[in-house]
Amino acid sequence: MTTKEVFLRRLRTAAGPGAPPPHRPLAPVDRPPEVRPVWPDAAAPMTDRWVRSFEVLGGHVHRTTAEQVGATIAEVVAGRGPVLVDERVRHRLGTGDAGDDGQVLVWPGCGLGEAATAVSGVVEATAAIASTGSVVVDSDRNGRLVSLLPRVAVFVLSAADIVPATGDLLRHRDEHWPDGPPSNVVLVTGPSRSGDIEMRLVVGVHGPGEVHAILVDR
Amino acid sequence: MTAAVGSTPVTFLGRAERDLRDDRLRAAVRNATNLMSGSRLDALAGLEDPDGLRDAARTLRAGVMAELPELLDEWSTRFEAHGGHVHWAADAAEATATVRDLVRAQQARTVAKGKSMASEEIHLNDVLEADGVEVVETDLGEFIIQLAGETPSHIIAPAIHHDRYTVADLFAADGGHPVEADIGAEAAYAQVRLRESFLSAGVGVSGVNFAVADTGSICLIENEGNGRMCTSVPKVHIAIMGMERMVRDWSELDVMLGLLARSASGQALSVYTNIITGPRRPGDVDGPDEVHVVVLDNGRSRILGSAFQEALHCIRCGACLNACPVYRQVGGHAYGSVYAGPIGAVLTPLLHQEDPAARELAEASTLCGACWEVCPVRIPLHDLLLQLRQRDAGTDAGRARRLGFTGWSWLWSTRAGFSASTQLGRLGRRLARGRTRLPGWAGKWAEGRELP
Amino acid sequence: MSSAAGEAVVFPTCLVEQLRPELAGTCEALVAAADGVAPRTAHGGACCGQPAWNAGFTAAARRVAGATLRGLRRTNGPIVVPSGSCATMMQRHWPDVFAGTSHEAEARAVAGRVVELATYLDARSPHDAAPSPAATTVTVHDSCHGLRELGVKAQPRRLLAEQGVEVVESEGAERCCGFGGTFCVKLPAVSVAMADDRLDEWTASGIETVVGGDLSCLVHLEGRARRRSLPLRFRHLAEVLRPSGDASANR
Repeated sequence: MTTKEVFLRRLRTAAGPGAPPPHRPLAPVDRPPEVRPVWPDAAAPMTDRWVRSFEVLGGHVHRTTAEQVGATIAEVVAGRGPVLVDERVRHRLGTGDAGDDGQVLVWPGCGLGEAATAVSGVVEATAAIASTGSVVVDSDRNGRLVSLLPRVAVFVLSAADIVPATGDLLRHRDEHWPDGPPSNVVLVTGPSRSGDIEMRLVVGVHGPGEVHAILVDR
Repeated sequence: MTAAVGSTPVTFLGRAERDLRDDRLRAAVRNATNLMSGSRLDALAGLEDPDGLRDAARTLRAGVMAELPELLDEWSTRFEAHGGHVHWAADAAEATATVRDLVRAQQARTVAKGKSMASEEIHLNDVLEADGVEVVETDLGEFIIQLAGETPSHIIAPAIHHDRYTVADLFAADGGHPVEADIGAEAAYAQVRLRESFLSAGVGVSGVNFAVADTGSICLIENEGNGRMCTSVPKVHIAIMGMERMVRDWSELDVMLGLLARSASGQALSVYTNIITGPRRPGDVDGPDEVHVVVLDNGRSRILGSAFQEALHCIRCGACLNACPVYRQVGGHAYGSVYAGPIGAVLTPLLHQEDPAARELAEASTLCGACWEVCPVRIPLHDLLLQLRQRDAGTDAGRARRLGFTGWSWLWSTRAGFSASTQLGRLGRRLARGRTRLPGWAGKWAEGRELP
Repeated sequence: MSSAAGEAVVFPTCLVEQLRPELAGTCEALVAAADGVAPRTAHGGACCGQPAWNAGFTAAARRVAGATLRGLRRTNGPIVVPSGSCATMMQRHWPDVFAGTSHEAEARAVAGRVVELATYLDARSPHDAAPSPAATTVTVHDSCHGLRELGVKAQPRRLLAEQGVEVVESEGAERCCGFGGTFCVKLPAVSVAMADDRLDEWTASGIETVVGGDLSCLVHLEGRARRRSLPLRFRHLAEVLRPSGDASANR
């Protein structure tokens, strides 16, 4: 089996002095240019811009205060079936030991079989991107499966964590992850979808088909 | 090149003529490419200076190729430092053997597979299935063509040649019960059917969209969620990566992500942009115990450093397929290769230089330049196609045509010769009037057209 | 007779000479009207070499183009070409055709003077013709090379509008007709299908006249339209434009 040294040596030999200069000259670039969006609502506050983008994707926004997060989550998930939540995020649900606990599955302790029965999954978002309506989740804060297995995904998001464009997250990752990126980071941009049959859109194919954001304003 | 199966024609023209007779296929391809072309324009309009961004992206890709060995070295060192495993595969045989051995080591009976063109290129499924492993394609389009025993006909939408009726038949045969010919019902069938595979598979296999050198990460994009399933649930995740998928850092990643989904499916971003930096860590509550990336050469190193190097810039968005007036008429299967459309017509002959059937794909173009016009990294595919023709013109296969053109060139390099040929042409057209069958290229013209 | 510096030359192209020779005179009249002085006729060569070049046969292309180059090198003004593909070949690809030969510098100099017809006329039009009520309605088919390599898009449309011709846009105006040089006889079924794509759109939308800047596209589309007995007319841009004002020829 080829070793790294052999593989890379073959590339160095192939690359040699480099490919002939391209026929059509390359544009001069000293550093990757910013990906600047055109804002349909440039005068609006950034939070509102994110809300608009998220809703255009089919997401549901529930604006609330820090004190009311648990109650707001409860409203969204009430009566729909088991709720999956990472043990580190459990406290966000706000319910005490009494009441709805039978409906709360705590990951990973509940096990995969139980987790797969959950209807809703509640996750704590790391950040959000206004230009695309994305929510960013990572493995430092939540299990990967919490925002993936259930058909309803509920993201708890602080307005303070909304950044304008993708570059504000990707090019400033040290601000969110000073020790380097976690093992898993996902930019979630809307509900799961597929156009594979006749190019017709179907929502909720494997990932959550319904996405909610519990938006905690400053 | 996919081998000719049964009565599959062995030339591009033969396959094209076959598919030109399939009205349903042609309508599906036209519909799909219209939609994707339109949504691409709308999505790019959401960017300031999309053309400037594309030109910059081309330069960034060239920069990566100029330092590819160094970037692969940096990326793999960091990825391994996070606990990931990197395997270096010179060709398809090494790549498939590596994956097979990893699957054997897990004693996995089932492999859940996300969409990966590279895995199709190396015919991974055949090797695993020969080893008694069940391979389940979990991308909806790939699942459909797996049931149909077909190859993808488009990079982004592999099953666009199907409609809800053929899908209903396939799903009914798979499930042993009728499935309604309704897209929602079919998606629901696939979701239930495939969830079992996700939850029980011992190994998940995926492709790689980009590998980021400065953090030792890989980035996978998708819309359905099956990719995240395959890379998060099973204990072992194996990713197949073309060696050219490197980017230097997260700024370059931002540029590529800013262009890819817009060009492919008209979205600002795909639903899931999944950045993986090694297996699960102490403190993670889930995730694979092992992540293996198989870095694939399989002919790419021959393209590196050559006049065709820009073909390696491709980020597999499929926009060129949607823009190509030839693809629009014949669809993907006419190309007889994993990679169809303009990028397929360039890459396939380069990756399979010994195969004459691959070489003829360079002729499947009018050099109209529509591909170059839409490419997010501005690959001059039409220039590369011309270069391929120039390369082939000097071979034995080109000799007869070379002699023809040489004779023509002597005739037309003098006014007397040109005038004589003009007179001859006029006479020939007069004689040809009313005739139904004509010799040579005049006959080819007259198959469908009146002479001028 | 030596040409005055800056005096234009019309290079008719091989297809025009072979299939529609009267078009050469029409182009010369249009250029004369635009310049106020009749252009010279190009002598010596006949073909830019594109058929061989696009098929990959560099030496054959060079031989044919070389004859044309010899004919044009004695001129010093603009070389007006009524074909987007030929103009592209000469302007953009001749430096490659003659790269490394003793004619390279000469080829670059000549290439730098090549101008596609609509571009030439549009640049010289005063653009002050009041748009008269449209006497005719046409659609424009864009030549691939002219469009993508030379930026020929608005110019023919402006010229037509100034002639009182109403231009209706086709959804697929920029889509290749399927001629493509040897492509049309190497992959005839595909070539014909690509023509049908255009023809079907035009007949469905009630178009009667198609105007293009490239005779190659037009004979291919017209050949297919006639085989299918479709009621479509195909005109080269030069055939539709009329020289306006006094076309006094001072030779």
